[in-house]
Amino acid sequence: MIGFRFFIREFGLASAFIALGALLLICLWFSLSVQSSFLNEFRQDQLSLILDPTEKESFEQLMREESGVLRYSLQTAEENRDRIRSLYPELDSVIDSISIENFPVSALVIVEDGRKMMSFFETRPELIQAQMIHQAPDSLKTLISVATTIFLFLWVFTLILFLYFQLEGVAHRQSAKWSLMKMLGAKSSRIFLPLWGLQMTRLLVSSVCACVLAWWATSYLLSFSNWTWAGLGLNLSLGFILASLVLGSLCLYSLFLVQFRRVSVC
Amino acid sequence: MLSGGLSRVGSAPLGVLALSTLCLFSSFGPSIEARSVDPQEELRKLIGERAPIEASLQELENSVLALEARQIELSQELIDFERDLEAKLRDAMLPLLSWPEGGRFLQTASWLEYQQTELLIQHTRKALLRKPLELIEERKTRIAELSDLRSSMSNQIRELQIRKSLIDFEEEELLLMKRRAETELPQATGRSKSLQ
Repeated sequence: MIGFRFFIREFGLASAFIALGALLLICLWFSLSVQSSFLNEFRQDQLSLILDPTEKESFEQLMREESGVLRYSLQTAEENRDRIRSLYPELDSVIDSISIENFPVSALVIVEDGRKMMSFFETRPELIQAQMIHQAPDSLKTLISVATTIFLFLWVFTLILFLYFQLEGVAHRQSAKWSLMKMLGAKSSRIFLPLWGLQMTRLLVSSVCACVLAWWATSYLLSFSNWTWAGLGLNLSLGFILASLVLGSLCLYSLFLVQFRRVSVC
Repeated sequence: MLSGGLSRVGSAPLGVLALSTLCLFSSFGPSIEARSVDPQEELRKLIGERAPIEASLQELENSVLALEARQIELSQELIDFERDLEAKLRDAMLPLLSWPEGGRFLQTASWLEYQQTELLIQHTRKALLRKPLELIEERKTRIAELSDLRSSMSNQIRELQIRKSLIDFEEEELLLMKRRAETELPQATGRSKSLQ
């Protein structure tokens, strides 16, 4: 019964450690990918415009004449319809039944000063029916940061528990041996090193499992999204395993010292 | 007959005018006679006045007929429109019912594309919303047009009825005057002969 309970506790802790490790890794990967792809798009101010379809030529002329415009591209109503169709293949028949006049002609304009250009476009309502300035996904960035912090905290907490219960069991089982060694004046490292080897092996296996789980999850996420992001890299995985071992060693040593001090000399 | 005519006309100005003419004619008959007004001439004059009234009556009748035809035409158009409205509204509403609220974050390659798609979807939704609103507005306009026509028709008919009553009254007056003229003419001729 005690053995079963021990097994359940160990299994639960290991699963939580692996799951939280994987979630932390996914958050880190997501954060790095957003940084390198989404946020890189916003080096220059960009505006999306909905144009009056009859004023396309006038708009093009305006774009050529306006000095604040760096680049622009036009999308016809057909292109926009196809874009919506590709995003929503289940609406194919619905989109077919809608006449082409309902789909707007749009333009993407890269400008020097987005706000200034927006107020300029506001003075030309005959050309521009709607406009928006593209902004970096700050809320997404905040969400990822918050999620990373929470998962990091939980992961460290689980790591401490993961080591603590193991160490407590070992200390309980080997209290007589530790007491004798302490009385004989043996160095604590002679007890710690074999213990460290065993716990680090457990940690290494769990961290590798977390990396595999995270790799599978990110690959799955990429498989049904259109993002052109790289999968979970080897560097990130190795960094995670290394961080896990270093942090684990520090925690284990601190916990061991506390336990070792508690053991009374016989 | 006169009082009956009066009650039918009510306060119509023409009726009052005709009545006052008649009263003048009947009360000051001798003075008119003294001014040597020819009753036949007066009769001819009054008969001559009848012609434009009859023309006006005919015109009114024609316009009522045209209005009735227009009303039938509009009613038919409205019935046809109402019959097709359900199908038209269904066709216009169907895309709106399944139209997405926003872009799909996972399906767009970049954040910029995601935002742009959201703008496109919202703008297309606005354009799709216009159609059912136009249909409802058109229905409202058609119903208003028909009810306006109906009220205008009832006004015209009422006016026509009043004018018809007036004409009837004037006809009666004319007949009365004709009869009086016929009876007074031999007497006047006899009196002038005796004076001679």
